[in-house]
Amino acid sequence: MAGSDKKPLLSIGKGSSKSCKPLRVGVKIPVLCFWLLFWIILYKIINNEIFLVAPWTVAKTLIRLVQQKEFWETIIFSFLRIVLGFLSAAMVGTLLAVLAYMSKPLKELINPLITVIKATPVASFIILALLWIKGSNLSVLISFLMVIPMIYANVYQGLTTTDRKLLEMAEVFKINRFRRIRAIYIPSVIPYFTSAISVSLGFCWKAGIAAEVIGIPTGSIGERLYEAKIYLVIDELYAWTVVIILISITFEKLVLYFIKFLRLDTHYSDKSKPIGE
Amino acid sequence: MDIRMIQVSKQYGANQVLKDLNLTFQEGRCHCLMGPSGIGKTTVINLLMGLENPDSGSILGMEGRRVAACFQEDRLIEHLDAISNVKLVCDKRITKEIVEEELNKVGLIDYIDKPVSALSGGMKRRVAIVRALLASSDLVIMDEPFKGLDQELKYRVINYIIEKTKGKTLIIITHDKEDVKRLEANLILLS
Repeated sequence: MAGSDKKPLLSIGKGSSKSCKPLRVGVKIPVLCFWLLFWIILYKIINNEIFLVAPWTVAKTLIRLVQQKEFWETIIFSFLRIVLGFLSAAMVGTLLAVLAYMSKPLKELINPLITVIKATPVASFIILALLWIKGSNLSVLISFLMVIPMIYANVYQGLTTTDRKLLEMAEVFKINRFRRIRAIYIPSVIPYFTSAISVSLGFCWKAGIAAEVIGIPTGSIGERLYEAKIYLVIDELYAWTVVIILISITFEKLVLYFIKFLRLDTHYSDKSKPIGE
Repeated sequence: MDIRMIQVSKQYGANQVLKDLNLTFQEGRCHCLMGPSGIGKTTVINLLMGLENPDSGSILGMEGRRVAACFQEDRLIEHLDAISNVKLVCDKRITKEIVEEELNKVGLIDYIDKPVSALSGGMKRRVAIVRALLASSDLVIMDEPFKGLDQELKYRVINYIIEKTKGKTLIIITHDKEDVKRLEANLILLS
């Protein structure tokens, strides 16, 4: 029935089988070792720290950086702006998808805007945005613009694939709107929303940092990357890249955990309160 | 007030399912709709539930009615448990304990707090029946409610339906004349 055989527009490609978990953890460490070894071999072959630094150099630089107060201030600066752009896009994208689902004329009005945002190169947006807004807020806008089409398309898809037979049932029994949303619409949209969030988070970090590298707002990760490149401090360039990857992955995990937590509430586990209680 | 279908016609593409159909469902009685497959029994109840509109003709006596239904395909919310599925259509007076008691009456004791996706076809059917009978209504419509139930369970469910629909108008689609007798229903044969 509802949502049983649905495929989100953006797949995160994660199996839900619990039996795979020990295997995945067991596989992760050797895989990590393999790529680390690959990096070391490549480093030895290239043998030029301008092009590729050793993993231990990056580790040493990271240890040095984390001890500096500015390091954390830089992370907070970029994190707050990119996350603000992401969250605003998640909210506005969802709202636009709901409006488009409720009204065909509104859908016709919104669709071209989303298509234009989706098709415009991120570099064009960054350059245009630099004319309109302060460099320090550039990453907010760019993250927002990168995320909104993905959220919109997926939430809309989730809404339109809501089980029609369940909606008819709700109509016959005159189930109120709040209960319909909670019991029928949300479970239908959640898989699509989760996929969109998972994919768009990566994009939003990439685009947000790219915007900072071009806009060079003072105190941002983008500025540190730019300076590392200008002064050829390659170990810092690598260290900051590792930091960006780690923040992006951690934030994605946190958001998905939060969504899963909310989803449990709509699933009514043994201890949860039945609808209407 | 009786429900009357007057000169009702319904067509799907080139397929004329109902043509100038006249039917009366007496208020407060049980009616069994019978007829060969494809004759339009489900179309009749879809029209009564307002899920479809007739191409021509009119349906009288449906204004202000509260309808409850047991659909042909259960239409339960798979991730919710049996109790939540029933409570979803009920008002606040129907507590969890009442629902549990009613589910027990049709032989559902175990698994009622598990998602209905884990239940067998016969169990889901009974959840759908209890849901239709506990919802606040004055017209109950059931499309082949005994599908997938063995003889013993079927009789138990029939007795339960009789108990819960006293004073209500009940329309049931069935293929078994024995059901008509047991329900002491008015037989409406579509042909």
